[in-house]
Amino acid sequence: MDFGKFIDIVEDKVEIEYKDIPNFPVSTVEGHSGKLVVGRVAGKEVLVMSGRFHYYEGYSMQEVTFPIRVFSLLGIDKLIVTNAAGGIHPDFEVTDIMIIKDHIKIFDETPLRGKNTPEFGTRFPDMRNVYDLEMMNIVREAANEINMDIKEGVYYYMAGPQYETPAEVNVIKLLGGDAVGMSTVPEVIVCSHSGIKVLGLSCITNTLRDDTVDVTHEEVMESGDLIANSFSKLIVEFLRKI
Amino acid sequence: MENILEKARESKEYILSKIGMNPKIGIILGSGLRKVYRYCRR
Repeated sequence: MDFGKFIDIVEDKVEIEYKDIPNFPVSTVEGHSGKLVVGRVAGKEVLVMSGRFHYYEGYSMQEVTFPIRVFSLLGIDKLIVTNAAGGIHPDFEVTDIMIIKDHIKIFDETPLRGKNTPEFGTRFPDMRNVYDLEMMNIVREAANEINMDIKEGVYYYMAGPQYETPAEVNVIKLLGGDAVGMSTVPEVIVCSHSGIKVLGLSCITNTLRDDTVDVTHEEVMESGDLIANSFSKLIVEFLRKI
Repeated sequence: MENILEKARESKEYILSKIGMNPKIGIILGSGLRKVYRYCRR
């Protein structure tokens, strides 16, 4: 799946490679340095990160979340954060999009560890309303507008890069996770620290259930394209309404 | 990562010098496709 296709619909865009931005992390993936894209979607000015940094790549949590610090200083006050996730909830199917209502991150390092920088936020940020209720309502309306059966649930963060064992999947299910993935939560924690409102969307690209079956490469690609298209429609409709 | 505030300010100044807009909405595009495999209860 290529969420990057979303960039195609950004108008009047200016692109900046991460490697050209002072102090930005450098991607560990050769040929995929990532870029910032600034432009307009549905008449709204947006700053888009095409490509993100993962803890499993070897970055520190502070490096993973550094772009959010920069977003904060640039005056970004709302963030739409997206990911590909494994569906655990029995009602989830491949190609579903899930609104992240909350997350679980229990055992891994936090990006806020160390001396606090008060210019960004408080020492002990409140995590009770990390995902903004108003933005959730707007995206529900947007999904309704485009006849999308959008799902909702709790995102469980695993640092990766290894996938989950069946026993871990059972634990995640018991703890209340509806989908699992290896990103998003570090950035969201820093958003909470900096007062940036967050809308989280997970694209379910595989399911982790008893009835999961192997699928062909063609089916996977087809699912990916379907998700990318419906995801773009949803974001455009959301931006129209916000 | 030391001096995050100072480093973030440098990044911000560079980005501001390249864009002619003042966006308030950020978007992080995820990437990748999770491996699809058969799940068997153990």
